[in-house]
Amino acid sequence: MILPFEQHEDDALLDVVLISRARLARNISGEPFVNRANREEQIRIRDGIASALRGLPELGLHWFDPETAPSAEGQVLLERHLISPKFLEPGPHRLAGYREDARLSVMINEEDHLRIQGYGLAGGLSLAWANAKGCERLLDEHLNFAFNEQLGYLTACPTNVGTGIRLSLMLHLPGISLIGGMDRMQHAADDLNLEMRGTSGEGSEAIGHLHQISNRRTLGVDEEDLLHFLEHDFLSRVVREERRARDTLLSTRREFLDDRVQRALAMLRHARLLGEREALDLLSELRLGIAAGLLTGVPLQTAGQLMQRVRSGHLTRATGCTEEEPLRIQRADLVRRELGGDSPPSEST
Amino acid sequence: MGATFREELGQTYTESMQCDECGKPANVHEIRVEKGMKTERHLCSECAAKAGLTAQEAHVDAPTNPVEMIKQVLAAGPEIEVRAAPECPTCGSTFARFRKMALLGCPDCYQALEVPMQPLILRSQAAEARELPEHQGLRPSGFKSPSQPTKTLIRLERELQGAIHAEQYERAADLRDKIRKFNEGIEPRDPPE
Repeated sequence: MILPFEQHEDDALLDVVLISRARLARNISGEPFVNRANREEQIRIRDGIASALRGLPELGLHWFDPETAPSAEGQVLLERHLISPKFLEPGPHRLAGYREDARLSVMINEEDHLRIQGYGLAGGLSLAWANAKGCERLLDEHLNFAFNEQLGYLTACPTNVGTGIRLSLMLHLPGISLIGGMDRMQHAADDLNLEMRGTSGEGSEAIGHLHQISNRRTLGVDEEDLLHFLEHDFLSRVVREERRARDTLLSTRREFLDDRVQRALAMLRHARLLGEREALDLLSELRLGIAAGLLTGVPLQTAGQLMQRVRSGHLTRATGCTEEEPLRIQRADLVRRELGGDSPPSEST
Repeated sequence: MGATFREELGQTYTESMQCDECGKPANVHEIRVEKGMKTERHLCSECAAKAGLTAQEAHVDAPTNPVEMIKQVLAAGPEIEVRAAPECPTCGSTFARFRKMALLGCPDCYQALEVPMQPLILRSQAAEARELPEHQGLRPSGFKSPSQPTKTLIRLERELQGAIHAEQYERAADLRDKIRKFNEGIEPRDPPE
């Protein structure tokens, strides 16, 4: 099988879509689910799956063992969305594998024995699915997954039973949000049986106008049909609406929008201390300004990448700082450097 | 996912049933239907034994999968039904545990706890559908699909469980007859041992 990791990324939707992800939940037949497995069973399950994965060097996985690796490393993987917050909670014996290019990750003994996550960037839901499926089909030859005819793949929580698939999109929706359209969006998502939530998953707040959307239904719907529905019926409409909202803001409230964007840029270029939340909110405005054509000279990708690089885990890894105050200084320095702001005080004197 | 599903669990099932006699958790449930009138009793194992509900003791001490239980219940006739709260024979998980954690204990729980869980799966999966849709999509490459007659039998038994759970006893009796006829119909086709 040819794995699609290197496939070209379509960036036509980059102004709205930040991350596309396809997650598959699988469990080993004849073993208790993670929540019911004792230590010995957890280790047996973990090692069995890890051994199958290690036998597939074409997947190009690096390993992360939360019991032995430094916690900052886990934080970085979390901020890259390669592992979940739950994976880092103390609990069963776990192991994660990930590709450095972030096209694929696997979590062993999270809620299910195995969670395979494929990723694409903008509009790359098909690619995300292809990555996850490629890995799953390779493993299928080596592992015996719990499955039955009626219910499909059996998962610890019945909300995942069937295909075990969760297709999700991280969307940047400042336009819809600023014209007050988020409630309507939420209702539309509900009607379509889609889950809509903040950036960090369940119940979390939408920081920087970032929203995560995923399917609820997993039983009785073919993966490809679901993919088609999300990509063509849902996503194309949301993208159209978001762009229309941005146009509306541009044509009717240009000064309002321009003011927000320029203020954000000024803050980012001159601030000496930046908190994580504040930086994300300002970068979100900046991203909107670039996408709406109000700002030139800063590429959209730079804003997107900064939204990840200003996260605490990434900053700690890059700078070695762990304390809050020095991190705020480092964050402000990084942003000023990347956005061509004035030099830090130490250099200017 | 989990949050709404948990809410659903909370709304659908409040406190777990308690023994009518001593207040401990009840795991023996007697439903009597006489001349169209239904009465229920919920007891713990000890009180059930004291009350002389011994004829069906096997259900209390060794809860089996619901299909088997329902078969035995139906075989006992329509007058008295004694059912134990289902428990997974493989991992021992109960519906009460599932309610608390929103997680099942092992793959076999799906069959063992199917009856109480089915309405919840239905609601979390597809609001409008009345029956669970059949899985569509990827399957393990080595998985052999059951034959058509086996599929039909599985479907009938599933409907039977649903009818009993919904207390549609006439429909359950019809389905039981259908299953009998079906079994008689296909058994001769099996090669002799």
